[in-house]
Amino acid sequence: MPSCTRLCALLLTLLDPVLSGRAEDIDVVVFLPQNNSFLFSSARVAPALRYAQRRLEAGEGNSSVFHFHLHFHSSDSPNEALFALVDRSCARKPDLILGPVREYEAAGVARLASHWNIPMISAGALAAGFGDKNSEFSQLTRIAPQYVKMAETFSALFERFGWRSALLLYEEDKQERNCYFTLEGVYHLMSEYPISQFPVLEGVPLHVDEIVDSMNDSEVVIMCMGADRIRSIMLAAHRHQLTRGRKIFFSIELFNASTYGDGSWRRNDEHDSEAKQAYASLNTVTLLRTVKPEFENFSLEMKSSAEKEGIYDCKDCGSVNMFVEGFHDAMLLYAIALHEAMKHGYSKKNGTEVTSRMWNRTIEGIAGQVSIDTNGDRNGDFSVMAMTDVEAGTFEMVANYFGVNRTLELLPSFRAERFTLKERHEASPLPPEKSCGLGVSALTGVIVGAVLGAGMLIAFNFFRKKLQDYHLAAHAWQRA
Amino acid sequence: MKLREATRPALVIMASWFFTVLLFQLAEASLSSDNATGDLQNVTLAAILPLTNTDYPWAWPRVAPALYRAVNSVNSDPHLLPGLKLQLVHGSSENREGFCSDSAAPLVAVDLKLSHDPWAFIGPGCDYSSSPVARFTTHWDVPMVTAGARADGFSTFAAVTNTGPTHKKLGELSLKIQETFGWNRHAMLIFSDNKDDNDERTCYFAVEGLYTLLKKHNITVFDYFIESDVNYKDVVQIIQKNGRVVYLCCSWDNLRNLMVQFWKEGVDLENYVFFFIDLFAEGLGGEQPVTPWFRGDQDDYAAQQAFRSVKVLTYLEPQNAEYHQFVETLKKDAEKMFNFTIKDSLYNLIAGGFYDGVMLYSQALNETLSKHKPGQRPVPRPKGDMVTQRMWNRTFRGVMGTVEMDEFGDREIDFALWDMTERRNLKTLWNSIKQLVLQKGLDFQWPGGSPPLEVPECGFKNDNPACLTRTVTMHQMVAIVICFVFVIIVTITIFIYRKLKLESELAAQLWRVSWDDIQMSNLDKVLRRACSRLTMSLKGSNYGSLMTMEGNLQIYTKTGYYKGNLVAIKYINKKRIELTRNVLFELKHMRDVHNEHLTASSAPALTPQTCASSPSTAPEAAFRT
Repeated sequence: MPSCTRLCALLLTLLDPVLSGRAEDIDVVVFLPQNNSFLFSSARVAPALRYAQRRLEAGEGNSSVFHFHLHFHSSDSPNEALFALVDRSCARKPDLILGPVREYEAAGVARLASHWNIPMISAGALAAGFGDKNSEFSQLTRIAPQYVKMAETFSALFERFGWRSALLLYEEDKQERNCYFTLEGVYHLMSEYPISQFPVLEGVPLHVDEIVDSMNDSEVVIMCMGADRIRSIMLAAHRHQLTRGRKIFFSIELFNASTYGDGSWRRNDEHDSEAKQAYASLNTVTLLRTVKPEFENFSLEMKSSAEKEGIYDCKDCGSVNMFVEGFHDAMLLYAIALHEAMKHGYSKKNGTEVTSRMWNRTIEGIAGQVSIDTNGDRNGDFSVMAMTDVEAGTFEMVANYFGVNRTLELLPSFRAERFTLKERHEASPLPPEKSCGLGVSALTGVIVGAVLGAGMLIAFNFFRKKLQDYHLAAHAWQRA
Repeated sequence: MKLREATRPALVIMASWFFTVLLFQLAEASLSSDNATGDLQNVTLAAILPLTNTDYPWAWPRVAPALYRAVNSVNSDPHLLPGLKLQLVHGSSENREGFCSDSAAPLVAVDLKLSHDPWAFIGPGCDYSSSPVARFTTHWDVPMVTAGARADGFSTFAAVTNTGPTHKKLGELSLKIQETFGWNRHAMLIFSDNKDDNDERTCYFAVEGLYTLLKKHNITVFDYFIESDVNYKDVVQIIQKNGRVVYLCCSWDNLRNLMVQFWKEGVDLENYVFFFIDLFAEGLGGEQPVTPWFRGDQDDYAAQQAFRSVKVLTYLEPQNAEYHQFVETLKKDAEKMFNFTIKDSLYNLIAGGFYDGVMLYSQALNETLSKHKPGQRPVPRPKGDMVTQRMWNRTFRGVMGTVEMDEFGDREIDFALWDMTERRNLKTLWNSIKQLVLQKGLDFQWPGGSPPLEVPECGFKNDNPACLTRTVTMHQMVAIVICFVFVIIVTITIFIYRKLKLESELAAQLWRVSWDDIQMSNLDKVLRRACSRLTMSLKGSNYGSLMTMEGNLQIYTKTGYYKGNLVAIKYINKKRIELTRNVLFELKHMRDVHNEHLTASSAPALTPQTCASSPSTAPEAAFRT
């Protein structure tokens, strides 16, 4: 009964403004997973959206008032978000789409949003491929720094320290492919460097020796994978004496940086002390977190609502993560852009106008400044963490990278020798001896031995004979 | 449009809402009155196909005439879909560059769905465009009928029915070939692939069909892909190491270069067979005889020789008169509608497939609707899977002969296998009876006389245990060498030992008898003891006599006793005997001489008289008997 649903939707839209006075109604569709194991699950992000909604509806910072209608859709299974968007758009298309976060889901939704001219803001969709804003993803604004922005940090580090080649070591799950996309950013940005890559399949036992072998040709090893695997690889590299300046090691931990750092090498097993030494050569790239006073308020409220939802059980729920912040700021950004667009006489349905006003703009976000570049992607600030106290095994920030002005700032705790390659021109470690197998070597041994033995015997005999002749000749005793 | 304007946020007043509602309802009414006037309800089929790029076999100009013809013939049939009228809307699955796109097609599908709410989707043809559309149609529960979308993966979509050729059927063909020639264990797949955004990866998907099915039947498959710059030497080596039955999907140039390389390297091509996948027979078209190896360059001879091991797999052109009629009409219509000239090629199979698809859908829809309560107006769109189920596992007469849909919604399709004969190429057929049918008077040609082995007798790495028994293992080799060396050492040792012994004997001068040890002959003793027996004559001298047995001649010689034996003593009147090595040998030999006529070995004894006591006398030699 399409006509009936159309009528219902129509009536709804007609009635809403009546109830809210002069407020502009904004239909917001939010695609987030219900599954709380994701940092961007609906239960975590929704309070932030409502927080932003309350602020905006209270007219904070804006003259015109918006009335946001948040429609949450789950995006747990593949294509769920896309289908939901299409199905609800039969009645009426939304004014703003928030999410999805995961790349493969976001792609379909972003294409449709761009096709329908609906602004879409996500704190995900961080892969380099979404950078094509001319056609497929023209309506996509990314409120979290995408992976290519993260790669700028590496680019700056490479330039500063003169490293010449990199190995990308990543875990490949063939599902969400977060690590693949993360390092793809590096690959994408640093194409002028010789970059090799080594995917490690998830769920397949780690072949540490193979991985260590693959490090031979590269000066810098950039890793993205689970903490346990990082530890195994660092241990192996340490045992092969690749740490301590022979190679520079990086691991990328963008989203749950707080769990990283102090004691992440610790597993309370017999390798702990070794791991601590190995981790002394490991640097970590994370998001740079800034904290301003208002953030405390927000953070507290997020915590309390998380507790209410009963999802305060995971490690990282205590702190507000990038996604929560991002979606909050997305609402602010949209409100500002829409306000401006409407001042110029455009309607909220004119996605192109609204979206273009979100780009190339800096706003004051909940945790700090949010600056969106001309391509609609947020500039990111990142920091490099390294072990500063080798005895205690604690990590500290040693350098920061600021995406807005593309500068690398070295902190007092920075120690240059940790970022300097030693023995650069030293030949690679001794190549493993080419063994032709025991059989052949035994054979060669036997033959050579036999020949030598025979030769010696002959020589000996020859010598004896000569001696004999000499003696015989001496028997010319008959001389008178 | 009205709807959108009404919701524009600037001025919203009650009056305009009611106006809009009114308009909305009016529109609804006019829609139904449209249906009422024609007395026919429109059933929309939404086609999504590449609109301009005629490189695709399912391009709109190639296929549209067939679709319109099918729609017309359904509409003109009073028994098929009574009260309903098929209408066709279409969208393009192309991106801006004119290639099939996996992002454009679903958007078009969504638009068509929202604007027309079609009862079925026709197409898309390209695999990458089809997959998101198939996802949508499955979600919406709308049947999707296509004659493209050949990839194996589409069998998982419940809404997809394929009335054209599929790669799954190609896989079944390869399986049949494997079975026919007894290749039940191993095959090799080589395909060209590039991951360019606009590339359809035709060969990848074609080979995937083989891969999936062969794997399923426990035939191990080695697959290898080649990119644009091929190192043929490497490919030859890889093939040598990994396969004898090789399925190839690449360009004809690649194939020819590869075969020429094989020939140049002197590989024994009799042991290989190459099945080249050229489904639309793009390299075999045109003039007879078909000589795909011919290029008019210096490699022609090599190519021709090497191509004896190549067989080509293509779709089979339908042989019925109806199809020829269909193609003729297709050509005329395409010329008229799009000013596009359709050539004779297997591409027309796809158009035929789409035609059959519309017919199949109409029949299935007709059946589904007749099961429903008749008379309900307007006829509601039946659930997609109801119609789809009726399209599957069904046989009917189509434009290319009998259309047999299997239980998974894929059409059974005929293939041709081309082989090189003395004069021209040979065709064999594979059809839906799932048999290889040889064309009359023709048979497979095997350069080696019989089909090659799928795995060489001794395995690709010479590691077959059965073979190893016939060759020498490393251990055996080692043992042999050690034995050999040992024998040599022993021989050498023996020689050395003998030599040493000889030398020591020479040096020891065993023949030497000291003059002092010889008792000079005592006559009495001689008489008493020996000579009485020997009947010696005592006359003449004090010399003992030695009588020879021959004749009675007696020779008298001086005798003496040496260690109790009677010895003859001969003085040699020489001042000096040079004991050269030769002399020493002679002496040794003399001592060693054995003869049964001699009672005792005669040994030379030479001893110098002590030089000091009688230097004047010559050294004497004593001969002892």
